[in-house]
Amino acid sequence: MNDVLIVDDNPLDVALHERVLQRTGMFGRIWHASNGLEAIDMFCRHEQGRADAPEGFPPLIVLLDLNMPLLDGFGFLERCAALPKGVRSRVIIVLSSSSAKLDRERIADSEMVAEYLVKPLSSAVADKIARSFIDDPVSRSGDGGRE
Amino acid sequence: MADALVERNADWFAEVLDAMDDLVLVKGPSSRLLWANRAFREYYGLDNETLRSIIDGPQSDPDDTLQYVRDDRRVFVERRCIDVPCEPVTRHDGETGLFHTVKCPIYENGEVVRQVGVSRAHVDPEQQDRWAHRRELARRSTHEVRALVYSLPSPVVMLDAAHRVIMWNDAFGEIVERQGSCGDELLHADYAETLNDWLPILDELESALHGHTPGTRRVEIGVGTDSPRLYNVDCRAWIDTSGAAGGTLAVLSDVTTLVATERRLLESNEELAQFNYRVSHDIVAPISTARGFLALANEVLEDGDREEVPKLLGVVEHQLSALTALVSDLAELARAGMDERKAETVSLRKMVSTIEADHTAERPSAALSVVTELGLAEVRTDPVRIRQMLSNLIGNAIKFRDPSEEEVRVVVTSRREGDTSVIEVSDNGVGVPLEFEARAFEMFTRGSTGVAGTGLGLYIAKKHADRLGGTLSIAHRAKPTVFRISLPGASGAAS
Repeated sequence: MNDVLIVDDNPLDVALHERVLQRTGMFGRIWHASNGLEAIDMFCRHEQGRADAPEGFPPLIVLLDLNMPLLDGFGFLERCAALPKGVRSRVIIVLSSSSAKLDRERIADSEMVAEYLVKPLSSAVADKIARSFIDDPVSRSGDGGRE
Repeated sequence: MADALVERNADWFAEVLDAMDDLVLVKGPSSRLLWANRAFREYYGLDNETLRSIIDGPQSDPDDTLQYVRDDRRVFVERRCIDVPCEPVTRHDGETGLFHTVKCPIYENGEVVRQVGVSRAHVDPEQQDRWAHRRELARRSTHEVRALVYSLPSPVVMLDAAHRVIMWNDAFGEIVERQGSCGDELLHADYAETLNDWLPILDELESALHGHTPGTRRVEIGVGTDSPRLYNVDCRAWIDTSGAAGGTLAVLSDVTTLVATERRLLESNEELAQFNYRVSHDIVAPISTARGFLALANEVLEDGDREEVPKLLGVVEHQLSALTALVSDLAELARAGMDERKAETVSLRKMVSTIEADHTAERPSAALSVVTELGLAEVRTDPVRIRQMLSNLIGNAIKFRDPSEEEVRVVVTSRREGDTSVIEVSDNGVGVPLEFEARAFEMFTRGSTGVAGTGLGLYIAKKHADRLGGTLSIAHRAKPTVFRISLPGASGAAS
């Protein structure tokens, strides 16, 4: 229900952000895609996703990197706009190492993007995301949801 | 009367016109003479065969001819009769008389195709004086324009109102000669029939003459076997004392270098913008990751979990090493773009063995073995550039090693091919994927995301090759992977 899809080609950043999200204890399953194309493919295989996670698919939130091979964040947003609403995630948050004005402006044009965040994702920001976008944050044990 | 009607053929009309003492003449487009009556023929000393298709008699003052041409043009363009109260006309013996002339258009299917002019000699001395004065002014004005044209450093050609060539300066003459044309044939020639072939600006000349915006065109002119030159041709009307356009000037500016520089500048700017964007990303990315892991390490410490901290800090260290490699590559890149240094005689065997030692010291686990098969023991080139090229290529052999091979085996060969020194570096690595081949030498292209790299190595090596006036290419994609360096001048000694 409160699943997150991290779309990023940097495995270290994926590992880091997964840890940070899980430490808040407020998110469900963390999904991965290493570029925009993989993420779109994941949405398109909707039935399989539903079978895999009847409650969690499609993930509620996408954390989207911009600079990726094959299909970058901008390309992902374009393709995503063409998908039916129930098939794609409800919340898309850009999480990029770029604070370049040019990138921000390009993203500002996209109505689908809820927020533009600059890496790295801190626990405080992850916490804020949970409170802003999740109606009923998962409340796990007091150890911060560590695996 | 009935007989007379039957006789009204061409000869009959010619007899009528020949009986008059006024000068009657018919002209076609561009002021070409077609026919004249007896009075005109006698005045000019020409028969109807001789005058056909010339513009004016040989004894006429060129400044007067300019004026006739301008007036003729008005008849064609304005499509109406014009009255010239006083104009000088030079007789065959060089004497000049003043005439009152009326010129009228002759239509065919609604278009002006010819014109007829009738001139009667002037007798009023007062008017003669006034017109003599005006004529002198017009002459001076034209001479001033001519003097200006002659003194301009840019190539200039001056035309009259019928686009006939009046004069040109030496700089223009040089271009004409290089086109294989003879300058002498150009004088009074119709622009459309001579220069327009290689300097097609007739539309611009016409537009300038009509008083519209001055026409400018960029024209490429081939000069023999040399590469063509680019000119900006600026066409403007020159105005005589009556305030009317007496003709046009075409001024050529050689913009070949300017255009090439402009293009290079735009390319550099584009490259720089892309470079800036990519560099900021590639520098910032490892810093963000390192910061993220440091923050996580802190939180983990606060949780009291010390065991995981070294692993997290290891990631930080790795990110900072990647950053160091990038900064060092960027510094190399900056140097690669700098100007030539002095060529030296480089011993390839010595250089390769130093590079091998450096790489082995850096990564002892790589099991690097470099063999040389040198048909050319020495090359004469910039040692810093060739060293970096070889080092990057051998470094790639290690980075893209095939895990199924026991060692990283590199073979460096050299040979002479005509005037070129060829050095090849081959390795037994995974090779260059087909889809990657075309972009292999581009900036920030990385062969694999699974291998550490800045995406600058081959780009820098290519830049060095360019600077040395040579090439760097992929001679074989895989098994072996062969990169070929070709350098101009094979002055090195064969081994």
